[in-house]
Amino acid sequence: MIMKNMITWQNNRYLLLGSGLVTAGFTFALFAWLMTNYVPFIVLGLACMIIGIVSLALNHTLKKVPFDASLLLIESSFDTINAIVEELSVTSKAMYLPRSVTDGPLRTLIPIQNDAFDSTLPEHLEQRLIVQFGKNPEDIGILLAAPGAALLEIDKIENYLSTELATALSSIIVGTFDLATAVDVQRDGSFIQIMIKNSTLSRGDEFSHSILGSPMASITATITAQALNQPISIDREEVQGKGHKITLQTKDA
Amino acid sequence: MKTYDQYIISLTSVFMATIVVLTFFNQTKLDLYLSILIGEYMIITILFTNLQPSSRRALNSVSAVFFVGFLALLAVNSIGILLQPETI
Repeated sequence: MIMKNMITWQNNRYLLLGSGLVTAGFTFALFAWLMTNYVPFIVLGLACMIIGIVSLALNHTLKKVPFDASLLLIESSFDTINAIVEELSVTSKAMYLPRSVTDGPLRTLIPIQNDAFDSTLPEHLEQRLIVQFGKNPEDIGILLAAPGAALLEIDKIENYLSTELATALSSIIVGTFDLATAVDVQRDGSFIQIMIKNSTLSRGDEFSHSILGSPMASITATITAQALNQPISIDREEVQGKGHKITLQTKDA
Repeated sequence: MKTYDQYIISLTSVFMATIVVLTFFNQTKLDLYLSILIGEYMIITILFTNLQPSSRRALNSVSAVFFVGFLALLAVNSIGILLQPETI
């Protein structure tokens, strides 16, 4: 019951704030005009109305999934992948693929052998768990749903992916999911350095993180792969104070 | 803190500061207050680059309405000045 009330409040708070401010502001401005005719009081009421109108305009853009549920989605997807990669004793780094390669949902390819990663990827990969991605017989990998991909299916994320990479990352990570306070992107050849400031995602030290990267790096790589329409791997990541520096590497499909 | 909360708080702070400062200087022109508030609203909306495209579209619609209001204020003032009898 309390949880339901919390979600209702979260989903309607801009509506409540907006309605309250517009009503209170209008009443205050009207009384100030009729009783005192003191301009600063009238303006105070009108300013409340402006903020109220802005809150009402923002109301319909609230995300439908609460923040805690978003975190739960990400962590549960990591748990599943962790179990699979531990069972198969995979040690090579994952590659995040755009939709154009997978012909469907966002996927991550985990090569079973380390040295198989330099192979040229085919234009399209089959929708199977075990896939052959190169010409050599040992070029076999596991094709899994990218961690956090479920999150990116929500809220018409595709609209943001058509914009510039920095804008797409900032809109999704900061604007939509509130996972950080700022995102800074710098490109250097095939490397992309992304600084995530004040990330709210945990940086646990699970085995799967050495393959997929941390949850934040994984989400960043998933978005980048789709935004650039190129396969992406996480080169390295480090924590610098409140910043989380992620270096991605692009690979031509 | 959510970006949208920061946006609302920024608007509120700037509006409050503007009203206090203009009151301190004994300004009593309603159109001056409103013009400054509308200008500040537009500047702050542009400065928040992290907003979702859907939010930005909604805020741009509100900006358009406020801009029309600003133009109306400007027109009323201009007409008032033009219709003033000459005092030579």
